[in-house]
Amino acid sequence: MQIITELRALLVYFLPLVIGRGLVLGLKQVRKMSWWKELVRLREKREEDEVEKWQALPAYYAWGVVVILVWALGFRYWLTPLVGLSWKWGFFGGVWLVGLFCLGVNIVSWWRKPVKLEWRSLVPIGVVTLLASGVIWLWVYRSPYPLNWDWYQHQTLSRIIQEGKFEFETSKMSDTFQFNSYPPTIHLLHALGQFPGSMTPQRLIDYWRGLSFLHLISVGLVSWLLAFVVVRKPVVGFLGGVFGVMIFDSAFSFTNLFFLPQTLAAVVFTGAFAFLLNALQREKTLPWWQAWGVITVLPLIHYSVGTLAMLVYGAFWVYSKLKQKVPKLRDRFPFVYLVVLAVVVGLMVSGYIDLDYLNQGEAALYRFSLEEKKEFVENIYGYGMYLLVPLGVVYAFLNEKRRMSLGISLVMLFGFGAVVLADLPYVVKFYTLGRFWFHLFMVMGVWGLLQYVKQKYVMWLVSMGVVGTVAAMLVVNVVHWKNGLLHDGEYTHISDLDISAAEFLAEKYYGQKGVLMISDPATQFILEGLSGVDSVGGAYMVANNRRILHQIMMSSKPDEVLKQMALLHDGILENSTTKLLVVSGRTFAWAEVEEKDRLSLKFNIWTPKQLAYEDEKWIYSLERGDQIRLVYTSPGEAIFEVR
Amino acid sequence: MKQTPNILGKAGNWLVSLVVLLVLGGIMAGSIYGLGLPYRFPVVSAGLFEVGVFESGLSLYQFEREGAFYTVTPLNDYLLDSQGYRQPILTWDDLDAGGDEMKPEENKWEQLATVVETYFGKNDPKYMLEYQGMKLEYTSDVNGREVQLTRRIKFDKSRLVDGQGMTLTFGRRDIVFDAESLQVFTEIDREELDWVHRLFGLNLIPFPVGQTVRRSGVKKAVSIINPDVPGILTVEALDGQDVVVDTGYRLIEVVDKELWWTNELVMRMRITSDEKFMEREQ
Repeated sequence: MQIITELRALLVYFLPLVIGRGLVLGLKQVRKMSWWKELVRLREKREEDEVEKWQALPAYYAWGVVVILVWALGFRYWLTPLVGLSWKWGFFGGVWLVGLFCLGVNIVSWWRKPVKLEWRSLVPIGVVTLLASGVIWLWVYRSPYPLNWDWYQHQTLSRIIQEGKFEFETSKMSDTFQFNSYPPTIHLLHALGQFPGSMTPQRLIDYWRGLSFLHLISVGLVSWLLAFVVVRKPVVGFLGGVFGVMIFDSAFSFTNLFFLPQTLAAVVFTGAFAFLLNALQREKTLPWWQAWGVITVLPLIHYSVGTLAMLVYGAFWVYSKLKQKVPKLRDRFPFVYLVVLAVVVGLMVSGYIDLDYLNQGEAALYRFSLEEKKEFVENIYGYGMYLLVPLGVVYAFLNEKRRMSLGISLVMLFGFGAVVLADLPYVVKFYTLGRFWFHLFMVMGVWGLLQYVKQKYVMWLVSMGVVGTVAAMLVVNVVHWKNGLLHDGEYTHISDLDISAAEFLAEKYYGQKGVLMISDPATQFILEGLSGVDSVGGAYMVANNRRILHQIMMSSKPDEVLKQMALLHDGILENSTTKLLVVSGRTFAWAEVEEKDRLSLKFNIWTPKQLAYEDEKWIYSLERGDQIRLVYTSPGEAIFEVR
Repeated sequence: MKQTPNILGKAGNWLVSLVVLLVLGGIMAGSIYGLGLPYRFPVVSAGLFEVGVFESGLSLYQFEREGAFYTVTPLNDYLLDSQGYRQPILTWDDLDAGGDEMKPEENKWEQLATVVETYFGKNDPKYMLEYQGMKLEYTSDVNGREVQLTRRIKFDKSRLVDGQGMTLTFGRRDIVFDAESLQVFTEIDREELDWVHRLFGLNLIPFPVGQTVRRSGVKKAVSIINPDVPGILTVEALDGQDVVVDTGYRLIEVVDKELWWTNELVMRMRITSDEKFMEREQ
């Protein structure tokens, strides 16, 4: 059962791919009509390049995602209000029907024209999968539960969608989202993978664990692809895959180990860009439907990261189109030097722009100094980035054979470097895009030396040494990141007791109308994600509700508790008939910290806590008849129903 | 004549490969060397408690639940001289005077190895000091919920020691009691006794009203309930040891009264961390 649940995570990738490819192939049938001819210009020539064979993959995925989102929006804002069709059954039923149809188209297409998988494609897939297995083993060692903290909020949205309460703005679906950072696109994909039927907390954990593994493989594959396309050496591709899989950017981007909207956008962008680069090298352009699929979908996955990715990708696609018409375009415009200039000017100007007010002031917490960013870099790479990237840059400047792809890569390196180094809030998130290019130059730094080794087996031996080094760096980085999460021998955000509490909540309260839960930010964030019971803002609880909770914790008097609970305000659920007060060891620990931490969106009690002696005294003092009823206790949590 | 260029060429290739190997090796070593280290390490779990190294010794504590520290430190430990007087092993003045030179530090490579070993359960916290010819080492051996703390003192020359004490600090609000007889040593009122009974199922026995005890008699095991952190710690006497509770200094002392003429003293303390009170054989 566990493996089946984990395989359901495949649908996040498989379903849009099947739908996208099926629709494109279906349209191909009508290309015989002359007025469709320009619309669908599929590959006319036979592929000569193993890379080119996969070129359309990002576009298939993109169009599949776009179709799913458009279908959801169409039903929500047009069909359901117009004809009263149930959004839930219209969306899920419709997508599954289209999916089945497209699957049929795909099967027929494969039967008529089987795709030959060459060893050049199989080797990267096999090697990356093997590396990813090793990385996942290390990552989950003494961590039985997923460590992607954000998955609880994504799961909350996914469940809300499965209930049929879809909105384009995430803040209108759950008050865990105070800010609309992304549309609910990936949540639609999760919902499709999990529907119908509500997954138990344990099944959800299995699902997200499976998804992490698949995501890691996708990061490794696009990293391999990018490195191979730029330098065209198998060993460079291999090292690119190694760096992609085995380096954990453990400061806010978390690209390889966390499936997030921005990390998915980064994978789509990087893969698509690599294919664009490949086409450029072969003096070709991508068909417009392939480019526009990617351009359309990126901001629909994540607004800021996706938009930047879209602009970059779009700019280079336009460049590729212009370059065909003006072959000497590259020589006339020294893009690399312009970007270096832009970097310097941008870094100087960024210090004068104040964006700390964004997201109710949360932005200020995510603006880091150069010193802090240096610390992040050293936690992840040691001195590796300082030593290898300059070598890679030198290699790129000196290499005569691959001037175009290396020139573009330099532009990307300096461009993303400038963005990440800028003195602005949230910019470290863009490292999820930039990391692929920094890794590329680190790999080129290695290759810049390795290319002088004439003995092939020595070259591969040294490459294995590089793999060993990256593995050692990964271990220390992972241990460093996990160090603050130690609880009873495990590195974890949640415990078995949290899961039991969630199972209780799911069984007793999920699906009931008017139920609202409050606890400390971390506990309610976790329990809402696992059980589906609505909380007052999850980890992003507003200050007023935090003060109310603190008042409750400081008083063991039932009257005071009742009075404070009545003041609770949820951003979505206006009239709650049943309020659940959940107190865990975390809650009591949270109540004891300084006020500035209690009110901070960045501070949480990250690890599970059991109830202490004084905590249990408070709990047993509180119960009073029907108004405050203790409905659940465990060594970790107590749940009161307050009416 | 024809072969010489080939041999030279091959030799040249090998030389280049060697140089590349050395340079890349240096870069890889430099990459690892520059890695950041965790704020505090090694830290290991003993049940609900963590064991970590602090400035003055090893402590059991709970992360994110500050205020509960149970520390073994040379500042509280002592040796007994021939007249039965306690001689502290180290004072705060000694610690201040000795400064950073007192604590032998691992080099970066050793630290990196420690970080990795700890993650895979191959390394437990240890506290080391060197002062005026004396080498002091506190090591921990964590096995599930049990921690065995070992103190080793190496003197520069042999000396006569009439006994030694190893201590564990406890907090002002802790409830400390004999794990066998359930006799409480710290102050406790009726209401608190009722709560302990209700929550732990224990019928603790307080001292009669008006009576207090500064130092308890000899015990075999002493348990601690901290009102603010979950779990119960129990300090057990090993063979030849006694456990004494000093409520004045808030110390649990494990005392070994064996006579020694030696330049190396070893003493052990066993602490168990449980979620609930575990009955012990009388």
